Amino acid sequence: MLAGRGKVLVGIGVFLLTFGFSMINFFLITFGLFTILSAVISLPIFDLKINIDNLKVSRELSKKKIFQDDFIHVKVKIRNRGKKRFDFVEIQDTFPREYFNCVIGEPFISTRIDGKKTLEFSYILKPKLRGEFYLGPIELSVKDRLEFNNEKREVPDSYTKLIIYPPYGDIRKMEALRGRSVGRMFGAHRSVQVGTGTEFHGIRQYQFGDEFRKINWKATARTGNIMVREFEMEKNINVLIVLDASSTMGAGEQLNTKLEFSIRAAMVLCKVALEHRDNIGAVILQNNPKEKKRDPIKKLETGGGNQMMFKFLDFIATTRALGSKSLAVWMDSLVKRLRKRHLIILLSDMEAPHEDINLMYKKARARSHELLIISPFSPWFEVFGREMTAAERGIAEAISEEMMQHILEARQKARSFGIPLISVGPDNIIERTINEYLKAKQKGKAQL
Amino acid sequence: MARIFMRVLQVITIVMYFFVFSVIISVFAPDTWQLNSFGKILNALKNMVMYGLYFCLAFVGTKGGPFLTGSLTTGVPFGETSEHIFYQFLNMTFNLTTPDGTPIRYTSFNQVLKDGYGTVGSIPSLYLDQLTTILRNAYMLVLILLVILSIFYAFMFIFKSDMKYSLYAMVTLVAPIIVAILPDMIINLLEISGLSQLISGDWENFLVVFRTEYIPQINFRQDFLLIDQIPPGFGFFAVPGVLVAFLMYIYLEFSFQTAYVARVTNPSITRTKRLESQIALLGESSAFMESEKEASLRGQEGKPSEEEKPKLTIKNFFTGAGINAIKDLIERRERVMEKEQMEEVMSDTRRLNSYIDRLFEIDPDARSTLTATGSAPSQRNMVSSSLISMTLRLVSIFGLVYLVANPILIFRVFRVPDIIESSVGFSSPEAIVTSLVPVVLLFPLVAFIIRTYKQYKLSKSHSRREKESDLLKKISQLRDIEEEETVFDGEAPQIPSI
Repeated sequence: MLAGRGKVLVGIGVFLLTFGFSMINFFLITFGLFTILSAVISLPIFDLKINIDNLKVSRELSKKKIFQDDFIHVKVKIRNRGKKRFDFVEIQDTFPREYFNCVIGEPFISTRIDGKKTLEFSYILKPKLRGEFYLGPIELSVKDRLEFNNEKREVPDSYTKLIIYPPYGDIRKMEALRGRSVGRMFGAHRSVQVGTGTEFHGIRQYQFGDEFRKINWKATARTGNIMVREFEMEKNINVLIVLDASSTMGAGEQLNTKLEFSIRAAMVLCKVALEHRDNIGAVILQNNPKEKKRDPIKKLETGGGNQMMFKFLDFIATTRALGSKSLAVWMDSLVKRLRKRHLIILLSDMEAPHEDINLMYKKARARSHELLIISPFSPWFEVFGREMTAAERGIAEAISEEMMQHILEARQKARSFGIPLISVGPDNIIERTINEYLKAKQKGKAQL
Repeated sequence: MARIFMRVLQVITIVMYFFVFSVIISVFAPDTWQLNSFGKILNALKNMVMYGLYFCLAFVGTKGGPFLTGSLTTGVPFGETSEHIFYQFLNMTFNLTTPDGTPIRYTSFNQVLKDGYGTVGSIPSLYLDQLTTILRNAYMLVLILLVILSIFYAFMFIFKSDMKYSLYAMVTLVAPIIVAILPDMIINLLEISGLSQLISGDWENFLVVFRTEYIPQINFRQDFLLIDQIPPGFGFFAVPGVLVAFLMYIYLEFSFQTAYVARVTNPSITRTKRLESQIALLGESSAFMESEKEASLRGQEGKPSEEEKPKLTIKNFFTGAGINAIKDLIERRERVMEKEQMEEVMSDTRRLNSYIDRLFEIDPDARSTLTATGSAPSQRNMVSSSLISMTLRLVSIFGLVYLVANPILIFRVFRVPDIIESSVGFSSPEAIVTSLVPVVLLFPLVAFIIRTYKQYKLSKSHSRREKESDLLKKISQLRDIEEEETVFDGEAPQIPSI
């Protein structure tokens, strides 16, 4: 069909013709004829010559899964399978601009493509958010050389799935920190079981029941008391990271939600736990309002090894904050499914009624699991990185006070159950989570 | 090569433009282009303001004087001498003239109102004179402005190579002719519609007066524009108007082709330049940031680190700091936010630079795809195709215009009787419509038929492909079932030994 320019030309031509006829002005009539005919003459030629199906457009990604702070190279390939040239082709690759920034290159091209030729262009994207996204579609527009006629099309099946993991920067920082100040935060903490194993631990006085073969005669002779050698064995523990993905965890700015920070903390925790050769598992707690029949507990089985980190990342990367919170029901359902003893690290803002929270404590303690609660303190996350007006500040302070009361009460109750509840802010959530895990490990909690 | 070709096209286009421009300008009588029109309009406006001021002063002086002096009953405000002095003062201060330049000297307010120059009251006639001046000169000014605009757009096209500017240049070049003949057209239309007959009394000759008094006569070369009959045969080409229209169209065609060449070659050239400079800049800024970071690290040695400073944590919050903790957090956040953002930008730049370095190592084609150097069209092909396309278009369009403008040629194909062929109607300009409409509609119709046929073929091939894929699916399913059965049997097929 006639495109914008063609229509304009026809419009001008009709005007000139009308004016020319009314004034019997031969110059205007002839010029009107020229403009109209120049616009319409190319119509059948364009349709005869152009076969948009001959253009094969495809997209290639350097990776299908990347970290949030990484980059991705997107390459678009256009192949003209036909023999005839396309005088003017515009290809626009689209991507969700609210989730990606194009940092280098341009996602479009306008050119001419001869028969049996292939063109390529590429650009580099940087994701803004973690999650599962689709790049596409690719839009194709073919025009004649004077832009009088055009044909537009969306390239079929031109969507590409891309999974964005949480930023790797936290792990990088952790590694850098470990390199500089050993033991300050993530040093070599071992969960040992003394008495078994082959690693020498120390010498102590003989006690009734000790094996005779463990007596250290030299020490006995030196001290005059019967002394025995003690051995130890490093024990692995099962760590279960439980992530509350209810809607309250998603409050605030997209990049600074409690869920985002919790996921970042969970990722670092996973890395540290795997380095300590512990088994790691994950659970996402969510009542999906769209699929009410769906199990609210999404579980990644506990395991270890090289591939576990990526399994873990795949598992948590696409999590979104949705639905209501029902802590007691979730905990009950979860502990029933766990066959082995676990160190459960729950990342939840605890924004639930106290009855629900108390019931959750009971359910957790009913089995012999060790529960550790890391609770992101809501107001701190919601003000994080925001410039606020005086009124907003006032509101933030009032809400903080109310929330503080709520958390204090929940913490007091947790203490009575012997459950540590640690309130954290965006500045220290990762550090505290790792420290609490290491502390628990040192204390030998949740040993098998 | 493409750029040279483009420059050549640009030169031809601008030469064509000025040739057509000079022809169009020559159509008008030389006195049409009065360059002082704007000055005259300003002068008329100034005069109107001065008249207003003068009359106000005269009115205040004459009518307000008695009120102030308390001599309302006498009717003579200052006495004859004082009034005379007052008007002497006004006449010295203001230099009122009639349009032909004769100075006006009033000696009393009554004279201003009743006995001014001319036959009617002086105030309305003075103002009407100035209004006429404004109207006449505004009309001239429009013509001049249109020509100036046309030149401006022609140059804009040369600089931007955007087709719209050449269209604007062409429209604004044709517009003076339209504007010049517009009053004639309006009068003709009014006469045709019979409205002029309804006008009677004092306004009987309004149209004539309007045309003669308020709109200047534009003198055209009548042979150039107006024609009563379509010249038979090749006499058509001898009509100056047709030739100028053809020249204008050639200008348009050249400008369209120039715009096309620019549209196809410029983006890839500018894109390559832009991205090369971006990549270079990225490398430079990354190196700069690296050195800055090192310098700041060296500078920080010995100073207490950020870690050692008291930190606001939730622990503080619950151990007495209370609500102040939130306030402190917010304030601290605001302070460090700018620094953090800066650090983030620096870190992103460094990482992006190292990512690109790595990418170029891994993928040797990455640089050319990022800069899209390979997207530049084949230049020889483009030049040849542009020349061929332009020639074909010009020849075919000129032929079509000739065919449409001589409808008798088309009607001869249908073997019309001699009596119709020799009728006067076929030589009138309106006869063009009889051939124009079918010829113009023929093209979209053919295009529609082609498109429909293509879509039919496409849907047919799609359905065939779907059938094939369904068949393949079925075959693969059958194979799977077969394989499962084979595995279930637990026996591999034996190869018969020879």
